[in-house]
Amino acid sequence: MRIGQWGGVAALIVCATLSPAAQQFKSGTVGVRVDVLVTNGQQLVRGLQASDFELRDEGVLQALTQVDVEEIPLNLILVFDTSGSMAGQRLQSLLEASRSLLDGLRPRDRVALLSFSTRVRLLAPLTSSRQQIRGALATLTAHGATSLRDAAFAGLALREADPGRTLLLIFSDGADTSSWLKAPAVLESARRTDAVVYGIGIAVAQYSTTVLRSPNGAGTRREVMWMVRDAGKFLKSLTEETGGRVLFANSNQDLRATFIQTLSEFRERYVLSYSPTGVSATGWHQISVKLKTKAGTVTARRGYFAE
Amino acid sequence: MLLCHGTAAWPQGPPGSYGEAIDLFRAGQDDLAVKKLAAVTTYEVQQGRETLFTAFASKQREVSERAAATMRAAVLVHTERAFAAIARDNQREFRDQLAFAESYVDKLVAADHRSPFARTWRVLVLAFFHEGRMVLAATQFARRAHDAGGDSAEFLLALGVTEEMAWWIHHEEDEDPGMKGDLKDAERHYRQALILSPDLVEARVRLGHVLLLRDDVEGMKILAQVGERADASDRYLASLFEGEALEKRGDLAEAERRYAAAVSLIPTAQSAYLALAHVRHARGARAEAAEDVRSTAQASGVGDISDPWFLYSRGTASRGPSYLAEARRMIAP
Repeated sequence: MRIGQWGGVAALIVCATLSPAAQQFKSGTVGVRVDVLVTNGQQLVRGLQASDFELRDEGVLQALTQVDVEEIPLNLILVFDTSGSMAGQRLQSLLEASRSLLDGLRPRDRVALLSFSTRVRLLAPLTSSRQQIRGALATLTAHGATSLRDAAFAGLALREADPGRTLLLIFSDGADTSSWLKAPAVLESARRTDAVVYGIGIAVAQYSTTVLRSPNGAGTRREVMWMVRDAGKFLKSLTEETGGRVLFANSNQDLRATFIQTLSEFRERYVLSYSPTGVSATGWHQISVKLKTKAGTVTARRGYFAE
Repeated sequence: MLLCHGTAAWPQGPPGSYGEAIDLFRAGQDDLAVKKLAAVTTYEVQQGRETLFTAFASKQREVSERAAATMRAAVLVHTERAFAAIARDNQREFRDQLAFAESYVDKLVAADHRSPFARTWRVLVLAFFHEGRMVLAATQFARRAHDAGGDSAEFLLALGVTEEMAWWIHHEEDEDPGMKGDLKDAERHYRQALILSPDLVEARVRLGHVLLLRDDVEGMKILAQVGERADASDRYLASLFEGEALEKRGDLAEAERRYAAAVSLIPTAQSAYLALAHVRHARGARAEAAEDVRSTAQASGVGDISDPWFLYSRGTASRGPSYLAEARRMIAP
């Protein structure tokens, strides 16, 4: 099997001519790379080895190698909603959260900034210059409709053919109202890259009044509040497809912590690599990843395209 | 000056604040008129309306015509206030104001079944509804207007658009618009609109689109009829929809050509660029796809309305200003 045969996806592929970091996970073979999150309840499960995992490609068990996450540079593509509903404090909180996120990056990590309202705008291509990103963030203003699907596709398409891990961090506070691209089209594009998508939303407080009854039957009216965490079908599907997930901030002020949590969670993921054997060289490959014996829930992309 | 104006239009009874609000609207001061109307009580509106209805029924032609003109102005100021209330999510105020406007229109239509003002107002209201993506309210309104005999080609276009928008929101967006929308109904309305007005290019483009959404290949023939004489926006949309149909069929090379044609028609529009990038991404041309995304997403100084798809997705909203201007020409006393 040649490198080019697996060129579409995910994962791939790293040649000896790339950076020393890339060589780390070459492990003498060319293959597919799968980014995996393991949780137990709300807790991340740390300290696992490749031997703890069982990965099947089209149902065929594969021999795994674990890649040292620390050695792989991060390509962080920020995709931010700047539609009209973001005006005011929410946008300010987004900017503050983004600046904190930048502070948490390592020197060789790169960042790009896309904003979307009615149009998608690339405010900064992938760069290691934090100054450039800070300058681009300062230009954000809120107005217009919400082209979430178009923006998600743009972010996926910008994933470059380099050995870095790509995290697409999409923040949106509303449903799509103006995209051209339909959800299945964007999900299909997601299957053709190895970017992991994290969606970040804001939980919305809902109130209702309920009557609490005491044992003697007397009723007391109480206002009840609960938080609705609904990212919408598209963002949920996109994150599930790519092995990411949706996290919610409970308020505008909570965004900073949610952003930092996202970055830290991404760094705690496992990167498994394998050279596919016993499977076809082209087309869609369904993969399943689970733990052999240890407890935990594994979240990983659903498959990849071999081209 | 406004008062003199108002006095002439109000043949009986004191105009009061209600009359002033209408006069402000006539003078082109819409915001002030809407604010003024907000301070008028429902009772005052009802009284003023009765006065106008009495004058409208006068056997003196001049008195009746002046009252009719004032009623038309009242319709517009109530309509603007209704949609201003919606922007503040005040549903009750919206319903009340629209009901006042409709009561005037009903009276005008009772006297003139083919009232040009009523026809224009109906499509104006539907354009407002489309702007707010209020497809259920638009459908309910359209049903009443249809019963009152409002079937102009543009009205039929707006009916089709309402169904198409509802279908789109229900199927393609994470929202419940309160109705599913029926593409067959949309098709029927567009075909009827084209019978009344064969040159209504938007109806042809939309007919082609809804047919393709239903996988009916006749859509390609309809879009091919849009032709070179149509403006760039309509040709852009026709190419975009053709490309999508071809892509759905798996003919990526031809789809790419159609998208590229759309891009060359309006290079500042984004939808065709992204469609082009998507089809290239799907056939493995990642670098080209990324370049397409960069080309469109890095363009500076490009406004939202440069994309015909964006205007299309807003239904007939972009026709609203011309409908309003047309209705305004009919409110002079």
